[in-house]
Amino acid sequence: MATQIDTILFLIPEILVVVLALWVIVGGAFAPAKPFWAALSTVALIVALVLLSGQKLVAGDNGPLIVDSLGSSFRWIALLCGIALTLTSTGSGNTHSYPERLGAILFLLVGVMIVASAGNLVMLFLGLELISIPTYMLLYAGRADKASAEASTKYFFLSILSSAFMLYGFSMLYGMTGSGTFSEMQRSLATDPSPTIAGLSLLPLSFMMILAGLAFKLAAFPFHFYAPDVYQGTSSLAAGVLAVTPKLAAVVAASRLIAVIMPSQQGPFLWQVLVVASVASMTLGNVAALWQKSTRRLLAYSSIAHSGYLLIGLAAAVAAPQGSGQAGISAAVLYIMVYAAASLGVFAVLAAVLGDNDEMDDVRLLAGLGNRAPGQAFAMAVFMFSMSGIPPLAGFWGKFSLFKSALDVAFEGTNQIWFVTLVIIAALNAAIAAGYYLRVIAMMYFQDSSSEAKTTVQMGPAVAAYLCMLATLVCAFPAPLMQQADQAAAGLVAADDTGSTAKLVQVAANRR
Amino acid sequence: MSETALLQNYLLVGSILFALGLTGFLIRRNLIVMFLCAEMMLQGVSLSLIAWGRYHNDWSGQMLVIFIITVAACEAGIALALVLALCRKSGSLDIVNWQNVREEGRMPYIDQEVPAEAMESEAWPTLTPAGIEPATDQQELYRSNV
Amino acid sequence: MSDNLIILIPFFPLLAAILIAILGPKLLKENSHYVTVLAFAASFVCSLMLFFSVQGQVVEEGTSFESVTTLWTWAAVDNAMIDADGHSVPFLIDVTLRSDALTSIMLCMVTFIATLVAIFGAGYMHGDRGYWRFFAYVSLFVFSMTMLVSVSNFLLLFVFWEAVGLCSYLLIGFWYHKPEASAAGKKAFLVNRVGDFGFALAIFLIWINYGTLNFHDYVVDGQVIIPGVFGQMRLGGALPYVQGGMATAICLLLMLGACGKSAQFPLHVWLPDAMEGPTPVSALIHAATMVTAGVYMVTRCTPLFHASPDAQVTVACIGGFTALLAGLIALTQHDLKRVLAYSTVSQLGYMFLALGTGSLAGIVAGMFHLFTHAFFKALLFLGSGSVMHAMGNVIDMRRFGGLRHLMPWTFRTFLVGCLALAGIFPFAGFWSKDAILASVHDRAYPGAHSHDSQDSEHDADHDADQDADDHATHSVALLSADHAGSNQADSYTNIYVWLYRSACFTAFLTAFYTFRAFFLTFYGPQVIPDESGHHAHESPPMMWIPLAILAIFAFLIGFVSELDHKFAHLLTSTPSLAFAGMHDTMQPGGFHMDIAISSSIIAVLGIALAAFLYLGHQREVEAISKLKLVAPLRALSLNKFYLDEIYTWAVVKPLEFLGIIYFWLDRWLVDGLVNLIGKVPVALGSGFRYLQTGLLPFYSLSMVVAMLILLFLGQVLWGGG
Repeated sequence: MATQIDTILFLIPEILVVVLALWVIVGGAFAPAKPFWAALSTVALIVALVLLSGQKLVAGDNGPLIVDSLGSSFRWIALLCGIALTLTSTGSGNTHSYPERLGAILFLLVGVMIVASAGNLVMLFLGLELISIPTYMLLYAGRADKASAEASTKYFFLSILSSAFMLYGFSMLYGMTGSGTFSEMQRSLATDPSPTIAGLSLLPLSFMMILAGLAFKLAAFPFHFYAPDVYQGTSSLAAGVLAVTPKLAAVVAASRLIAVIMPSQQGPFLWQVLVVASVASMTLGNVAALWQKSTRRLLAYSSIAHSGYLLIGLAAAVAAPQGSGQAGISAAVLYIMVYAAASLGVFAVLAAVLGDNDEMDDVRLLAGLGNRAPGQAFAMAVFMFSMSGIPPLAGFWGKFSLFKSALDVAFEGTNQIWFVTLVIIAALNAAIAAGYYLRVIAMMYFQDSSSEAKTTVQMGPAVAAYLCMLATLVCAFPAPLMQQADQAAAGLVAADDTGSTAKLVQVAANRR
Repeated sequence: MSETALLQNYLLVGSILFALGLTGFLIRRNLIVMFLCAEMMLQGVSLSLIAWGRYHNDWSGQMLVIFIITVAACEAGIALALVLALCRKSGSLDIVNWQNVREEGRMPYIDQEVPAEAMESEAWPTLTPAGIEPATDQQELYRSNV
Repeated sequence: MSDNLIILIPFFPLLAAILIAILGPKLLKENSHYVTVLAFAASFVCSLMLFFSVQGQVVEEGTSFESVTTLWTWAAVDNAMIDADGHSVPFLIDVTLRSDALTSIMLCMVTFIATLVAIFGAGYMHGDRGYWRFFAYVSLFVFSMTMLVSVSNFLLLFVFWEAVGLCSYLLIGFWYHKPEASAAGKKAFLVNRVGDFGFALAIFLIWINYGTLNFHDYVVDGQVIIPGVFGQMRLGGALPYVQGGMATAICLLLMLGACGKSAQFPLHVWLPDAMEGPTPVSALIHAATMVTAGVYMVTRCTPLFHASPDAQVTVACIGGFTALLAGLIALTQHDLKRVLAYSTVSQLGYMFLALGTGSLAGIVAGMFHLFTHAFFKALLFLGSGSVMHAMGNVIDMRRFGGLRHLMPWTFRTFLVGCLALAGIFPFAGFWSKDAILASVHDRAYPGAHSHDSQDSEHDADHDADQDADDHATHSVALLSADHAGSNQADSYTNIYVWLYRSACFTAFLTAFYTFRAFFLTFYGPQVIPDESGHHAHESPPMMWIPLAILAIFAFLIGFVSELDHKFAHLLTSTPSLAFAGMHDTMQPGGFHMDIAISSSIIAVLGIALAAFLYLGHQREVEAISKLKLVAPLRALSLNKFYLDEIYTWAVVKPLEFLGIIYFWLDRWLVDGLVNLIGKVPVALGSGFRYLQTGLLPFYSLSMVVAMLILLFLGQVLWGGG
């Protein structure tokens, strides 16, 4: 039994960021100086990264937390995303509400980090809400006009609806197992894998509801409806936040749910649902994106499609035979990493070249960007190529490992037709997606803009875009990243065959 | 009453609350009512959690409920601020006013239009104004719309 | 030493091409020619040094000399093919440059002419918008050409064969705004494709039959690993050459390639049109160097042709026929450059005729003619360029005349060129044309000449026997094949007799049309077209000095080279020519007084007839062309025997028709299908878009319905099952 001191020490990076967020919000009321707060929080985030890298992952019972390399990977990603978002935030929105928005972003990050290492329902719930609540504010505050109000409303109401679903799922999960701790739940479900009450099977009910909640965060079909409207209505910064942080949380939460809590040897229903949702999400996202004229709306559909890709990995993890689910999770983790880099980069570029004009997001505004802002246009092109999965960029490796995990499942078990079809459809979708990604690139490089003037490029978002581009280019050599993802996933499932007692992660994995 | 039967009763009430909230959320168009319905769903969840906690003789259910209530309070804060902002911008609490951001080319949803009553050109008696016209509080007029 | 030289020679032009391409448009502009001229001059100096080094080593080492320099391995595949004996053969392409007599002669000639043409071009192209582009292309061409003659591998030969073709295309279409120029460029490129196709097939056959594409033996530690096609192993007789039908196939396909590049019938049609390019380009590429690449290639492949008398006689026939045909066409052309172009085609035909005799004397004569022809034809073209420059780009001989006083230097140098082309003693053309006629004569009437060459032939036989003794491996098969070959070749003697007669007639034609053009241009009343404006004067020194230099060479080079048979001795040290089988054939060096006298008489007769018809009033010409008998013939010649029209109707139109059909199929069927497939996602998208109503209640209802379906299915399929 770890002491509470250990738990608090473990959470020091999160605590640092929370303190920082409070300071920014409170202090910002008196000194709303953008550069200062941005610099301060960048430095603090770097300090948090250093603290995080100094942590030893100690195996064993860590109270409400799970200490493993999956969690640690996602905490890393969250902080790195935080740096990019902080830099991006300097180029977006009005000055007087800037500290609030920066504080909201910082709170969000803490939410992702808490979800990443949540070990019981309370932590998970709090983490997810800590992502949602600042998001509501962020969606509105960047522009504070009718469109952003509408975006915020839609996201808010649909989000609490999905939260209610998920909580109801939580309550049933708790009811089945009599404990709020994941490890206890796993133990309990291992002894009684199909609890019922009044003739209703609780396991499907709770899992379907929780997955519905997570699907909403992922913006996966059929819980994707909010995404296009919200992205379009809000600012570039908030769209970037929305495109990345809820997905990070959903992936890590779903991984835990599937790999840790779910009892083994369930029927094919769950992964069949995931496969159908995956196919529907990616197809819908891609074909609808072909029509879009608004850049952010296009990217929203693109993010729906990417959710479909992420679901491939989760489906493969569920369908994999006993003890070999880590390939799917590892692929999903890798994919979310490269997606996060590219996606944040795209929104950073938008913030950099469009600046405060968040209501102007017609794709045609990007025309001639290759001449007007060559560096940003190049970065954008890299992100687009990466997202459409052109080798050797990061996105290609993400898709590659997802397809590989699905095909592995296909050729190991009896589910061949499902997963082979899934991979074929996913590959076709990649081709469709290239249609609109390349259109953006063509717009930037082969269309003349109406105005010949050089675009003023906002410095902060530009730097963020370059950082993301660097990450995307570095990931053209994906070996270290893949290793990290494998390690993260391996920690989850490694305990699977050691029996019931130690499904929780026991690996004192090395830091990267 | 056995523990199981008690549990089932609690859960039933909880699920009814949840379903009521859900139905209300779907059918009502007033922003505040919608939010209240969502809160009702959360109450249903809370009731279930407490029932399960009692059944298992475990306090982590109740603990989650406390956090749910806390978070719901936060959300209520946000919700009311949001509703206020929305109301200021549109002058109405109707959710259907907020459908401007949608797919291009899609027709907006329009309520069944109530045909304006045919105004007959009535001849009002013209009276000589007597006394002072009462001052109208513009703010008050505005509020009454809400 | 020679290793470095052979690398430096192509390096300088490449460097120039890159420099001009990068710096030309902004920095060098009107100074681009300095880079090119300097690079070419440096290459020429290196070539000369290489030449003397090779000459020295030939003297030292005796009959056969080559030295190869491998730069890097370009492609290497193990076990690329299993040969007939079951051994696996690696596919190995090294970038290897060779220096031997043939290469060094070609290099000297190419770089020398290129230097002069570049100097001339600096004057000629002055003020052109594409000034730097011109020099970049020319530099690239010279790089490709020097590489072409110095690589030691069929595949690389093909690569640079294509590269010179590309440069030719670029330079023919240099003034691409002019529709004729771009059409001519296209025509040259497409006609050459036909030839290149044959060449590529020939390379495939060579690979299959010989298991290598290298000319030289691939040697590791003194051990021959892969015997090259023209390596010492094969030339020495240790390994046989493929005989029979396969040999004929290879040679005919090679000849098809040579026909394309060297403008031989039936692929000669591109060269006259290629005159749309700037005149220096015509001089350099379409007269002196690139078009002789086919001759070079056939010479290089002599051992292959030696194995197939059928192919040799085909080469001779193509050459003889082309020479005659082009000579006849040249009689009536009005365009000065066209006359020269057909003359080039005709002279190239001469060279192939000589190569087709299959004797060492013939091959040396062909190469000798290539060498001398380069000087005087470059001279003539540059002269015509000078005229064109002065006449404001008018080149139609009917529109100017009597320019001898106006342009004295051009007149004098042009006269030298004409005399050389007509083959008047002691100009360069005389010696080489005589050598060709002599070799064809000897082939047609074997044994007719029994004087000085007889002894050397005996010597050669003696040498060959000695070689045979030295090489224990000299196979009986080779001997018998040679024997059979010579027997069979005898049945072709009749053909060679006719070829000899036609060659003599062509010599007459050559003299006639050359001086017809000369008289029309420089004699008669002085006529100047309006376009010339203030340009109508002698060209600047930058242009006439190269002319003068070339004139000196056109005068001297034949005599100097023929002196003591230097050229023949050096050339026969080329490995491809110095091999056992070749020694059996007639040796070069015989100077036949009777042939020399008769051909001189023929040439003088041609000039005399031209003078009679075209000096002074041209009443006779008008009278003759009105004769019923002559008029159709004249029309035939004027219209180039309607070959272009025949090709248009036999090849171009049917292909165009097919093209139209395929275009419509592609446009409506294939594109239609593809577009249909492309429309599916878009149509799907419009369906999904319909769901995005923007209404929050609709969204939440959708979510809830989906949720309920999931819960229900979950109960039934997961929980219940």
